[in-house]
Amino acid sequence: MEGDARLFAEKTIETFYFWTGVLMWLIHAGFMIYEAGVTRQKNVLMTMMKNLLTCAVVTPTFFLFGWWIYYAFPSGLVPVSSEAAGAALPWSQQMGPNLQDNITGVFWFAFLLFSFTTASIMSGAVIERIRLGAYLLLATVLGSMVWILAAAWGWSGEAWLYKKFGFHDWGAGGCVHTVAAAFTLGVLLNLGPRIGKYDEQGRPRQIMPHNLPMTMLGLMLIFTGFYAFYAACAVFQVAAPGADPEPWRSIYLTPMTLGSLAFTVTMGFAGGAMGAFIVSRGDPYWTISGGLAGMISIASGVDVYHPALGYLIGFAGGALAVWVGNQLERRGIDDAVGAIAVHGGAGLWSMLAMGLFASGYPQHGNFTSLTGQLIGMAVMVGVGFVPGYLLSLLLDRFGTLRVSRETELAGLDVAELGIEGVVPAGDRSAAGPAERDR
Amino acid sequence: MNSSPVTTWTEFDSRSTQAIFTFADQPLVVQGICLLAAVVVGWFLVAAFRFEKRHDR
Repeated sequence: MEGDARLFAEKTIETFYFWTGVLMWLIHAGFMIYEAGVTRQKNVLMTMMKNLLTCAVVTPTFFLFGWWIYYAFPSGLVPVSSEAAGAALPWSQQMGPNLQDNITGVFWFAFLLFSFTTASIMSGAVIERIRLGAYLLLATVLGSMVWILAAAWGWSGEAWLYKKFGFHDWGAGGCVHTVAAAFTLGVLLNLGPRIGKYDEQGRPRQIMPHNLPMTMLGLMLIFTGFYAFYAACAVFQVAAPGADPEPWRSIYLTPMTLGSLAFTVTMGFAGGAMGAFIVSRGDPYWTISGGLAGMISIASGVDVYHPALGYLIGFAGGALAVWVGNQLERRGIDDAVGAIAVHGGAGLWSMLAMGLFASGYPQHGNFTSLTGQLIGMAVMVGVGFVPGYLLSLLLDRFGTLRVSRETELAGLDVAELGIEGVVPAGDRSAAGPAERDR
Repeated sequence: MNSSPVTTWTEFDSRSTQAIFTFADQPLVVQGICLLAAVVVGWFLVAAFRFEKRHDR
């Protein structure tokens, strides 16, 4: 009977992580719809293709080496040889159907969806002018190498930032959001702004989303998927025979409850939307983006925040995202969706807020602290920015980063895909290249 | 800011420990945070009227 109970518990855990992964696909449906709404009509299909292919290209690369990076690099840039690292190699017994292992496959799946998210954060910022091949190479490096290295350093049970400095980043405000934003900033510095974004005096012009309601719907899907993202960050395990029942635990194995997510993620969302609404003076795009910034702002300490504190932190995060977005635009950084502001601004704030408001929590051998959070912030920015900047610089030098001026002006859908993504009503003859070539 | 209501790992990991949220052992601080949150909500509601009015002009 005891064996049956244990097997039932293991199947429950397997089922839990499987469905968090499935629900996290909503984030990617959301990213696709959101970015398609932001882009101009002439680039809709290519924008959606980039989102689709992000998931396609990150999946096999994360299987082949991304999962191994997580277990092999907890101490720095030199891989360790451990049982866990060996089990994460793509040819190991655990990396395929195995009747004695109910966890590896579904846990890998959940982490894969985190990888999709990280790469997708960059995808919106670079729309309308990046070459597809360059984008996919950058997405592979970010989604299957860079973020998972940062996770190994700051998020795994053996992470050096956690072990040495007490770094605490429960919901990946650092290793997903900040790393992706820093990588994106590095890419944008080499990619440059869209044609027409700035006037002759360098003043920014607003390029309006072609379908703002679509963008807002996309963000609502992202919000929904984010609950699954956070749930997948919680560790669900079975106690050893004879031991006390196991609570939910954070990825650092500190005790927690799923109720903390229900309370604080939602309060953070509410605060973020309200903060962005006030600072942007009621701008719809920034208000809904602020909701996401609020959900990210509480990420690092969501396991311990009081919900009202989570609301205030989210409020500040939503307001900060608007301010950061405006500052970047004035400095010539054309981030088409405000990804750096939302994910980077709120991601950094998330780590800082944890140090400011939730220091002193015991974590096995050390305590959460402001110093640990500041060190983590610096590491996360560096590990994201340096590879993003250097790889995009290399692509730029070889002339493979950006589409030609003619292609950009014509629109990527027709110029690169040979098809119009959005056909004006009553003009079905323009639906495909065969029709158009006549 | 040290806000942990538990001070040792043994205490944190004990099944007898109840509220673990920030400042759980300082109810006045928690009440102050709730009050501040209420003020912010009030500010938002006033701002919502203000922005609506701006667009009506």
